[in-house]
Amino acid sequence: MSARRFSRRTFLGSVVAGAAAGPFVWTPARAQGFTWKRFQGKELFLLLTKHPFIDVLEKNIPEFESLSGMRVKWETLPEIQARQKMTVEMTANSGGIDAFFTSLHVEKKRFWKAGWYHPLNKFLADTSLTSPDFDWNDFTPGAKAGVTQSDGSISALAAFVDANVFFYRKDLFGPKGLTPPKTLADLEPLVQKLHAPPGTYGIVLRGLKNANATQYPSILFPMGGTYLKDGKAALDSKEQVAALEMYTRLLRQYGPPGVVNFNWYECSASFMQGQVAIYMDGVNFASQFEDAAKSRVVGKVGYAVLPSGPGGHFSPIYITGMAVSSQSASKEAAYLFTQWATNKANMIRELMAGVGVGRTSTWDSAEVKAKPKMPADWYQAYQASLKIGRQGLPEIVGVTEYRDIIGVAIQKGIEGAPAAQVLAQAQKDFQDLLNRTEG
Amino acid sequence: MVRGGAWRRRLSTAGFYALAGVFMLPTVFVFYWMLTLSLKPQIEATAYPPSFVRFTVTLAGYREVFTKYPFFLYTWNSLVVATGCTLLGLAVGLPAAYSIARWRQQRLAVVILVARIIPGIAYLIPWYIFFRSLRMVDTYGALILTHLIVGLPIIIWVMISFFEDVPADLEDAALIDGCSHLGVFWRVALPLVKPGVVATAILSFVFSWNNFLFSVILAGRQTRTLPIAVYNMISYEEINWGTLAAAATLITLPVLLVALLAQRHIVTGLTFGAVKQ
Amino acid sequence: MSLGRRAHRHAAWLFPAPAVLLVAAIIVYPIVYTGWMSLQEWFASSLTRPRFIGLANYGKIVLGDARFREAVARTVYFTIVAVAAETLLGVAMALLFNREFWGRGLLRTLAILPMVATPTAIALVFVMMYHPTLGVANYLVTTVGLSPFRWTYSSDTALYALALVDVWQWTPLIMLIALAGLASLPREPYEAAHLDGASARQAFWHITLPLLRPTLVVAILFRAIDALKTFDIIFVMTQGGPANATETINLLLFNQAFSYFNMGYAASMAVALFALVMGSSLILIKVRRSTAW
Repeated sequence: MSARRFSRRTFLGSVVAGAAAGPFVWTPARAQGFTWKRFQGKELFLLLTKHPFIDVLEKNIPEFESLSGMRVKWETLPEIQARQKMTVEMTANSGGIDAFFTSLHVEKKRFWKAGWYHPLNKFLADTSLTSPDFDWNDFTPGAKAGVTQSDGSISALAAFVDANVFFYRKDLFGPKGLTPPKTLADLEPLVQKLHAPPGTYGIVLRGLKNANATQYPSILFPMGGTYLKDGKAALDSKEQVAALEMYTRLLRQYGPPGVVNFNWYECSASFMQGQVAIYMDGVNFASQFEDAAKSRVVGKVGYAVLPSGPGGHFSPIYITGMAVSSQSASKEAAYLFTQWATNKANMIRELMAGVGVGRTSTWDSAEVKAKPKMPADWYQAYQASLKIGRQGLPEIVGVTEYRDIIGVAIQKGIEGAPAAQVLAQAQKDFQDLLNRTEG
Repeated sequence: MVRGGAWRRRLSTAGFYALAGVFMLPTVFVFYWMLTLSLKPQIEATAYPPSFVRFTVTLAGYREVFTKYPFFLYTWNSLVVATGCTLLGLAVGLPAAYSIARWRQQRLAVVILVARIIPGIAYLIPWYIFFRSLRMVDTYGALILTHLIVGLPIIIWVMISFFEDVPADLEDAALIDGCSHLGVFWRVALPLVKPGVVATAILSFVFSWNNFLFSVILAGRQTRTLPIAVYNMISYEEINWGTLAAAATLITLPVLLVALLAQRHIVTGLTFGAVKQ
Repeated sequence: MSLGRRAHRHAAWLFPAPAVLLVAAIIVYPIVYTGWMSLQEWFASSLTRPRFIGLANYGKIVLGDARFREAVARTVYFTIVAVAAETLLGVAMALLFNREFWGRGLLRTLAILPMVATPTAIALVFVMMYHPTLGVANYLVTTVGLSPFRWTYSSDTALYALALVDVWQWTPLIMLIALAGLASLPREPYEAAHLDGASARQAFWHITLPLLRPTLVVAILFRAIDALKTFDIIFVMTQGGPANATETINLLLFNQAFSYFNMGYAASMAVALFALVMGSSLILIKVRRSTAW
């Protein structure tokens, strides 16, 4: 993967052309029918991330190889290391990566501004490059918005769509005649009733900084809070204060000991060992709850949509996708892979393995309905959540920095600091960040 | 054993072993825990109260490690890189340490140390650019050279102390007898510092074995080293404790075998290797 | 000895030459690159070039960045706690084990184990052991009658809980190096001291420790360098939390480079961390030199 060089001018040109898409009307060199074999004999290199979606996809890559006649090499690294490798390769302008898996909720604007995504608009519009049955409009509006930048350029094709949902212990709710909360106001009394330490703790949510930032909007959004108001930081609004106050109070009073530094694995371990009554987190965690080799609460877990609040009813969603690298020398061939990885057939396979996807048709496919892997209320909760889905994190360049800023505020809150005070600091840091990186 | 002092001789054997047990218990326990985790089904790995002896034994974790990852390839890569790094480190490091000790070249010693002091993260991008231009990305060569940064300084620095303890009279006598400096180093000094060589070789091997940072960037699919396998056990939405612990156990195993095989050397080196007669 | 001296002049640069050249070959470019990058503002973009901003990055880390300053203090504190504990325990164990006894081979093998175990794996095992309600650590603690700790799950104890992992892993290194040092000690001073009627304690303070010092200082030096740069275990176990209670320089540096993509700023932090470690090392080297050189 060393020999491919790509001059700076060329790729700058292609990015500009893709982004503007106005005067550069591109005429396909070979305007003919679509064929998977078009780039037969080429070799692709993919940088993939360790992820349930990829676990399923990897198994089928040989199928793509025989379909396209291309050779595919890939490497699957844990997310942090994959991002590190991506950064180093792109910084060195190596051209070694043709397509990559991207966590759009973190990388979308950052990678776009860095010019690492090759815009896919023209490819999607090109009938010689896009299979007739691909059907872009099959993606949910949320999934489409999640991969589209503010100037309309499409940076990736949506793969996995995560949504935050409400997990609860039916066996604890039932005898007390309790039901999942409709509103945030119902939540706290409910938690209180279920809280019976040390046997059962009322609720668990992520406490660890950065990790907690994807769960915080489960309270923040219905409370009416937003990250930005008129392009300015809005972390000190009264909705924010109320939300952080509630998030941290719930954990301080009804969370298991040490929850302040709980990442998802501590949270889900507590829940699966039966120590916690309520858990709100990504829908995908559920597949292990129903695995008897891992969980003591098999069959006892109920799935529901998150409660609504004065600000409305939302489910924070997070989208990952397959993207084509702007430095690739075989962008069209890489696009073929990207397209194949997110086509209907593969998405059905994903859903059957319990990985949520943002393609409408898959949810009603006969195959999925015939062999449901999860309980019915899981599918209902998931689908309902997608309908009220809202991007869970601010769409800014410095997402990770934001996550650290709010994350620290939440942790300080859990350890007892007043919400207004920690948010005042967070507001200052966040506005600083926006001044530095936006605009 | 004169140098031990009288009080220790009075310490009864029972007391000694009790004390040794107290010191070594934490070491043993963590490994015991890792081993049991690797054999427990997931549900029992996180159970509370924890089970110490009675639990369901499963080899699922080990099976997964071997089926999901090219474990043997990774192990082989780690072996090649760690051995290469150690041998190269000894080949260039021993003469350097000797020279620094014999001719008091403190500045050189500090220069070597600089390599180790630079934060590893700062190396990543420049090294990638550098080795790419040499077409050495995804080769053992690049990994061995970069791992030298972690192995070589400790070889040199620890060996300086050992070479300093070699009596100058012995060397001078050999020089007067017509021996070259290389001869003195090879035939007089080196045999006397064998314990140090063994100890530092092990350290260098271990540091290289566990290095992860450089391998992510400079290795490719064919040269990837072992520690990445452990990271791979942490997936997006679950940590499979059994598999993780199995991978950790397996990664520790080869070095443990090396340690066992070389044990006689280590023991002789560290205890009877009396430098001064 | 004129012949010897001439040969000496050559040998004195020939012997270390391969090591120095090899090291130089692989570190010169990174040094130049990092130094240059530390004077730029650049967010790893393919679309814009790095922008030269002089010493602004350094000005910011020294004057403007409270998070960095706190990280420096924390890093130093962590290092002192961990390395001091390792040295005390390691020397104590070396003295204890520096004798003939049944099972010595086993013991040494055991001592090597923590060092060779992959830090990430060990860190994860500790994560599970430290879990406040499911972990075996609190089970053991409560079994002996103490009240449970929060370990890495509280701002008050997290740094110590991390130091404990470091101590667990690296005390054997100090022990092994100290054992090697003990093995190479001359016998004459002890015999003389014995004849003079010195107690074992006096012999330890006045003979063993001074003779052991050069070897020990090297061990401490390397431990301190590594402890100042600790990354793996903190990253796996706390990611710097709760709040920023365990965020060390290296962790902040990693975030600046690979999470915030603030390449220039990260480079200036790398230089600052280098300066800190280099400074501490020179102090230690001075301690060593006062005995040996």
